[in-house]
Amino acid sequence: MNKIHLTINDNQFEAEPGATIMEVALENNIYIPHLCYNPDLVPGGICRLCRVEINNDKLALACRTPVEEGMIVRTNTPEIDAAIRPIVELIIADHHSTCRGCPANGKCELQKIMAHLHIDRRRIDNLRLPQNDLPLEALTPFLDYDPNKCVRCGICVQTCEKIYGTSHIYFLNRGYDTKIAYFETVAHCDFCMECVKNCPVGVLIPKNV
Amino acid sequence: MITADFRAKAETEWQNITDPSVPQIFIGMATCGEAAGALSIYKAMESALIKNRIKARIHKTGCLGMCYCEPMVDIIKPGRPRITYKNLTPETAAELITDYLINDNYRPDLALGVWGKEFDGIPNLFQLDFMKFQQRTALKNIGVINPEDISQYIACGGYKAFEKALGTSQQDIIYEVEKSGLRGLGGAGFPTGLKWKTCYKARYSPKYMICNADEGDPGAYMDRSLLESDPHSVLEGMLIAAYAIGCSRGYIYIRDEYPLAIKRMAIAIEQMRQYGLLGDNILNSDFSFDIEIREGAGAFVCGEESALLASIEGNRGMPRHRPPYPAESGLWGKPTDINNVKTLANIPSIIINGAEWFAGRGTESSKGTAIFALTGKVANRGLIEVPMGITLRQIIYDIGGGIPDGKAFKAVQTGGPSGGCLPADLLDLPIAFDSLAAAGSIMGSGGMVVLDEDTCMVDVARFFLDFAQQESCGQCIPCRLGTKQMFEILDDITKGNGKQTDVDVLLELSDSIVKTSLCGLGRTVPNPVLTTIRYFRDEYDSHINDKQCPSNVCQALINGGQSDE
Amino acid sequence: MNKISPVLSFFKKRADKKTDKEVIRENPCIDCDICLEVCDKGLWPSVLMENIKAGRFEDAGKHGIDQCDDCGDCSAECPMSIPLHKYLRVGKVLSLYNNDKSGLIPILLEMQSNFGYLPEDMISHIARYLKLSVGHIRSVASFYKSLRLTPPGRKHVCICRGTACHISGAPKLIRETEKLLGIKEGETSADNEYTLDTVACVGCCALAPVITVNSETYGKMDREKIKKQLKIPDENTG
Repeated sequence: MNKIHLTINDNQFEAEPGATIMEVALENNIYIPHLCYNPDLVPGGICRLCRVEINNDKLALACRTPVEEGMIVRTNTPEIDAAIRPIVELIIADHHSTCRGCPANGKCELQKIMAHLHIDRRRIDNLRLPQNDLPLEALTPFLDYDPNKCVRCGICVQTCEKIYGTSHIYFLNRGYDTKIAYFETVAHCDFCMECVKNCPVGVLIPKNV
Repeated sequence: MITADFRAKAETEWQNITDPSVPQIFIGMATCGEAAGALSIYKAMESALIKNRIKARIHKTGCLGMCYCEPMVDIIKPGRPRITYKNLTPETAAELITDYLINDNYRPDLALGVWGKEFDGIPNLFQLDFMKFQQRTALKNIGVINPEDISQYIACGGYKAFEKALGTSQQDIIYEVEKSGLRGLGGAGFPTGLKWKTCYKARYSPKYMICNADEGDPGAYMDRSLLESDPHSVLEGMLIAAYAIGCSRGYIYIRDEYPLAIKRMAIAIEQMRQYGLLGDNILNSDFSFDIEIREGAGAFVCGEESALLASIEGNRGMPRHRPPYPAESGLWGKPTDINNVKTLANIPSIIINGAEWFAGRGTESSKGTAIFALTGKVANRGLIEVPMGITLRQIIYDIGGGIPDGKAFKAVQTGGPSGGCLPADLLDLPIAFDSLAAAGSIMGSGGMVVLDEDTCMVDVARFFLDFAQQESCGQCIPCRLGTKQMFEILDDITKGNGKQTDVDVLLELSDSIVKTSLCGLGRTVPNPVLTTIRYFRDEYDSHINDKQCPSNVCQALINGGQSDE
Repeated sequence: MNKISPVLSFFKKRADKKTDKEVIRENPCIDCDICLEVCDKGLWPSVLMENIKAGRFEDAGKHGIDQCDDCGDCSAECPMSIPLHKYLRVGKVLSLYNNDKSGLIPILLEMQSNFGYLPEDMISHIARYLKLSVGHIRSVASFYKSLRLTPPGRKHVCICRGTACHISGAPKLIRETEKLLGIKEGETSADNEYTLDTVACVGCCALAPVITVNSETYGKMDREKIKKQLKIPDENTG
């Protein structure tokens, strides 16, 4: 198969046909902010953060747009910044703010995005923060779930589904109150901990048993 | 074909109703009529007939759209025109039986209008202000026929368009619809012909046809009235669409808050089966098609195409990323055409009268008519069908009769939670898809709520964002967190806790949510906030700076924080 | 056609006073087989009910549940006033969607409209029948506002919060009704008499503000009319 040639941020790259912009960019060490993207899973386009500009024209999602010959991609225009910065600020306002002690500290995707965009904490003070901390929930006998940190990206649900065919973890409720829950079904969770590994923000906390 | 003698029989039967030998009584029994007390009227009239030993027939019709006159009753006495009576009570209804049917006093004090020429002081119903400016195409049968009787629909020319379509090639029908310029009346205004063409060209089969009757916009009930009062016109539109595209199976997705619409639709579909209009080899052609009703379960977002598909498939009604569009990959991955109730109800008229006739009305880019549910603080509330290009002033003042109780007009809200509030300066705006979009609102499905001076615009914006955050599916982050955040800010403003930065934050958030959301719900929910800030900024300022609610609505800002209860 | 002996009619009078929900909970079938006698289609409603209750939906299908035309004779003649036809309705919808996952929402809605909520054991029966997981069904049920997992009160009051109702005073109406019934939105009163909910829009905007009580719509409501409608005696209102 012939390689596809495209330009990302003024640099020329080669890519396999059928690859997405996100795959090509990450392969070449170009960071595009993302929360719900995981290389092993089908991209759902849920976090809406991986905006890129295509052919100096429209904004598209990097995780769902396949590369095309001669494509010109930009990942850092002011328009992109203006579109996603308020969304990142919303996530941080809604996210538990103590990183110390968080199991994801240091490898957290949200921290990465904050550093990438140079998020100004002062602007977040203009937003309304959640009034109360929600209690930790015991998801399974061996896992705790922290709804204060969860970004509802669905990676854990998809991961479980990929491994077991049908997921043990489900979304519950809708709208702002959406959260994940575990229901014991015919097949029991055998604690492979893949969901914990894949969680971008450290929401699932293994218990010390 | 529907056999000629059956059509003739239906027509004679209809003749016997419109020019009867015994009195015919028509009672408007749509949900709104029943809520206004039509059921007790029905019982009162029935017992009055029995008591006085009068032979008469009572028909249950749908609703004429004149909701401000409910409950309504029409009476045809032999040799007399059809007279419509308004705002009846069980007592006056029983009086009407004795006075009119026995003593021949037609009670002009209770009458609203007469079907045809002015009759002894009772005005012509269709020359009343409410009806005069309307051009009823999709709504032509509502309130006229009994929705539970297919022969009445056939007698009024029903299924002629489908018979004509069966004798035409699929491409010709699609071309005709394309040429008519019909745009989807569910809100987005996508050209219907183009949608059909895409789905027709899709290579995979089977193809599905879906009628979107998940009318979730608060303040809108056009679809409900149409389904309850004239279900066959929608079904005929569906048949034509399915034939043109080549669909083998159809679904009608009706929200479960409309039990009567579901019931009437089920009856209509059953009757179609009886007359060979559904099933294999319809009317002896090689076209086979069947329709199933699917009920929604209380989720506004399921009015969005891809969420609707997810719901029919038995999943959480969450929209998915597009493209691919449903016309290429929809229900179970197969090509699926999804049209709104009102769009489909327009199809038979286009097939019968031709594309030129349809395109002859309306504006350059918006053809035909628009259907609105005119409600709120307006004298004549009801269902109207007006040509595109009519101004808001004509609708609100000429048809709607202006604002009651001598109050002043403040704004009109179109398009439900996805639309905006337009101020008095824009009253002369012609109604069309583009003009409304330019003003910051949308055509939407057709809800039109008039707001008077007693309405607080910040409270209205808060109301819509409250709705949005309750109805957001919670899948994509901008919509899930954005609607919640905007609601919290607006809630704070109406409670006197607004900050100086709030309006700027709202504008910035709105802009970002519009640009980044996954589906049409998220992309349009900031509209009520954007338009109220654009046209009523002063009200935001007085709430935030002076802690005053100029319209005395926001409880926390009245009487120094004391509620009035 | 009176098929009930004097002894049974004594039970029937007593049973008639109970609500369907109480009867469903008590399961008082006495195997009199009157339902079998009255069924025009030759079905055996009490056996079908047992099949459906126990989750043996395939068996109910084999016993010809799709023949049922919902005439309601079995429930009317049952000496213990068991709402047999409600089970038959659910069973009929179930038989339509054998192994068809897309039938989940119609099945849940049918169950909801007959029993008022989705009983826990029924969810696991349906999960097995449709080859879905319980988690999936609970996840779907929690998404849709019409579906509820807890039983509602005898009178399910929904106040419309649509646009037209909002500007015609729905917020005030909700506050007043909450005071009248002594419960908050979304709650059920302790005596299981009332459940208060709000609904997005019932499409009766011209008659705003609108409420529905057990799916019946009432327009142009105010505090006094609600009191009359719900038959709340004056002394309770405080």
